[in-house]
Amino acid sequence: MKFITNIWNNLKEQPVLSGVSVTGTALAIFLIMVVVMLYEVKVVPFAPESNRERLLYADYGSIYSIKDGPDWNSNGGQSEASLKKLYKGLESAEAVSIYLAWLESAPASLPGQPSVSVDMRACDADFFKAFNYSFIHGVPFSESDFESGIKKAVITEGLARKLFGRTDVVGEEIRLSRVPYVVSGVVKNVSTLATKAYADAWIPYSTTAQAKQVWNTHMGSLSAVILAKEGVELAEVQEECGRLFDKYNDEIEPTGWKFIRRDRPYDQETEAVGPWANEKPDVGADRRERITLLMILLLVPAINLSSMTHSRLRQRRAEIGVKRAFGATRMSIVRDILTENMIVTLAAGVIGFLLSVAFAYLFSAELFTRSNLILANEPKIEMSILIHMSTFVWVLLFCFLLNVLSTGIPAWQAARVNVVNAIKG
Amino acid sequence: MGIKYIYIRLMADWKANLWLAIELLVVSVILWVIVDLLYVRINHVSEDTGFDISNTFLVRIGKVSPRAPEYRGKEDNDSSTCHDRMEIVNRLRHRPEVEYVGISFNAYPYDPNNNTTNVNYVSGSGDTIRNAISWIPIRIVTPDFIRVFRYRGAHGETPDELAAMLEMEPDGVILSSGIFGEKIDTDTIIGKNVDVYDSQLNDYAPRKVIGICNPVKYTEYHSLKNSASVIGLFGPEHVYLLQQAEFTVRVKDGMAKDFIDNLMADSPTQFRIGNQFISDVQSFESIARNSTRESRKDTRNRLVVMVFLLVNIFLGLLGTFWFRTRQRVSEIALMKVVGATSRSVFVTQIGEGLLLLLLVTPLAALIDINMAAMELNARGDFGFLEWPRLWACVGIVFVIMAVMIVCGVAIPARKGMLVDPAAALHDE
Repeated sequence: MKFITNIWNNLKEQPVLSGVSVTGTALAIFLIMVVVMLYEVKVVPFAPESNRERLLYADYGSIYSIKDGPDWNSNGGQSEASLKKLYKGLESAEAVSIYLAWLESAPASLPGQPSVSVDMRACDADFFKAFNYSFIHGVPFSESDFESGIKKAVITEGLARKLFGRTDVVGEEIRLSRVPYVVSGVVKNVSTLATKAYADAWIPYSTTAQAKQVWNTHMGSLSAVILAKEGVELAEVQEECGRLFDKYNDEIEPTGWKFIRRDRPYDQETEAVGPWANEKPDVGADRRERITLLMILLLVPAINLSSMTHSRLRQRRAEIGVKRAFGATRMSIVRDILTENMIVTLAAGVIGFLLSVAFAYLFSAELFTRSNLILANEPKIEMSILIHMSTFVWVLLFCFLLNVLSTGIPAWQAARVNVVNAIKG
Repeated sequence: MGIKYIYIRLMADWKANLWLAIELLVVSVILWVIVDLLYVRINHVSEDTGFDISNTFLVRIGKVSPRAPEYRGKEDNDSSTCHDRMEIVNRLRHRPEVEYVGISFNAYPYDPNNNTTNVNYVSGSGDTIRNAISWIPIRIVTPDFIRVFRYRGAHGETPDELAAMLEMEPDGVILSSGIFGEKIDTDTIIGKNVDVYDSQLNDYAPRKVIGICNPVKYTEYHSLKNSASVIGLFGPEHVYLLQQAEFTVRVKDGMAKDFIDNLMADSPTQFRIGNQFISDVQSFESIARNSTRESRKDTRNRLVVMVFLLVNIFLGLLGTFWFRTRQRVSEIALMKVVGATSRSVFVTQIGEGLLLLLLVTPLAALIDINMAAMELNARGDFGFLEWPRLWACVGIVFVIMAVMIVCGVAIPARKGMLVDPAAALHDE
């Protein structure tokens, strides 16, 4: 307690300097945490993408005609037959889901009623194993529904309310893109930030025409997502994918086509970098860019705070001199100053962190919009999406770094004070 | 009390000033990167886009799925689809609020897709300049499309005059002014032939240059200099493209407000022909908003970082000079005793901050020049290292930082002005 009182008294000694230091620290942590949060929503698991650490994505495939050589390659969705051969047989996977590569914007209505525009995902039954939807009513469409092309749909409670004014609508008929579907299940709304799991309605892709399109013999309009078995390293799954890939390439050689791997399927971090089909996303460049930004946000305030700490410590020369005269070592003085400052940094860091959470809530629509996609729903932020254990670890880490960077050199200089000079006056 | 005096004071406290100098240097370089990009961007946004999207809409035509209960008749074929779509266009033209309906292929503003071509020009002496320009967007449009987006001629021709050119000479092409860059003056080739690559023929075909229009940009964020294009007629031979064609509408002044709602309400009854129907209508204002969202987000993020850095400078100077003023109370008092006015005390302190910035700026400029040489900044129309832009941006950064310094130092300096010599020197 005495320690805290000491710190408080020291701060009060120089109210303006202290105020400026605290404001500067809070501001730095605030912006740093906004950057961290913007990144975390892309990679940290939250429902229904609660298995992000175990997911691998094969959004696209790349193929070339052996006759023309690999320089002329075609990139995009793949055919059902290719995806089944490439991924469905994975032994290291708990589930492999195939789905239509794009979200469809479709009119949803009750028969004879005006329609609302919704985002619709055409997928297979395994999609509901790869992602953890919370069903309020009913169940997903089953494997056999999917195989037989039965028109069943899963919808969100939001869409159920819009159409029916209630959520217990299992067994009711709705029109999606003017085609009748029977509701098999109603799930909780999904945030647009769950980039793959998000939609308003899910239908079996076996009931749509696009899913059957095939070009370049093996390409089509489908993607796949793989959920690795618990305890299996993603690298193992990728290795197995490689074996299936080589096998499939041998198999299709007589057709005159060959797939290019481009290190697919991708883990969550790689997937978050970019959606391009014709090259592997550059995770390294993305990391470098983020680290540069964080360094700027960390270093400039650190230099700034250094100069402030330097001034504050000059006022305390006599005190430090006395401590040294009574036998305190330089290291112990540096350690005391660092600890003292860490408390202040932490307090300011908490203010900055709270500000960043408030900011993320207030400006979620602007902050988290997904590039140029036009979606039927605004991005919605929840505590479970924004705050994780890792978030607190980041706050602590950045506070610590800021403290060492801003106090380290001035504390060392202060500890080197000449005892006689310091307590002379 | 000249600059020399300020300099001596600066050096007397060089340890504390070194921190400030390092901060100013780092911030100056980062600010330069940001200002440089914004400079290029503002330049581009302030250029003419070449199109006018007020009162314009994109109409999407969809088809009923053969699985839907309301599907009519037997399987559609290409010719029935095209016929039905043309009928929808005709009905759109007859709506009272509609001024023009354009049909085009990969041509409307903000369209993420494009078609490109190569153009060769045969000079008077008969030498073909092969690939005089390549990868140039080609926009295949009906004359009304030009009226919808109000393209303008390079010599002040109105959209109507430009559209009339295409109507009179369906085989001709309209080129953007400056399309050949420095190589050929576009004004000298009106009425002459150029060879335009035709993907249908897989070969070049001669086309007469019937007019020169202003360049048309993809979006306001693109550079005018790199926005040359070729405009050709969407004629009967392009009917096969109708399935992928775009339908754009200009609505009469004052009638845009409820256009989407009214049209969508009439869509099931008046705009369902065969299995084709109007599935979606979007205003170009909202298309523009979505399409430029990423650029705007990026601009905003950079501005936030810029403000953050400036606030840091402000806080840094405020803190340091506040402390300094307190330390120097007796010095300031002494200055006043020997004749310094409050004003000169104030000016000296501000001068200290500004001199520090002045000393740091040449070093920062040197780093900026190196960064531009390494292409770490924004690309302008003539590359990365453009001297006028570089100096302009160094200047802008200097001014912004100087303003922040004056703000940061002014508060403690005012305190210094108020020092009462008698009280301050009481102990001495």
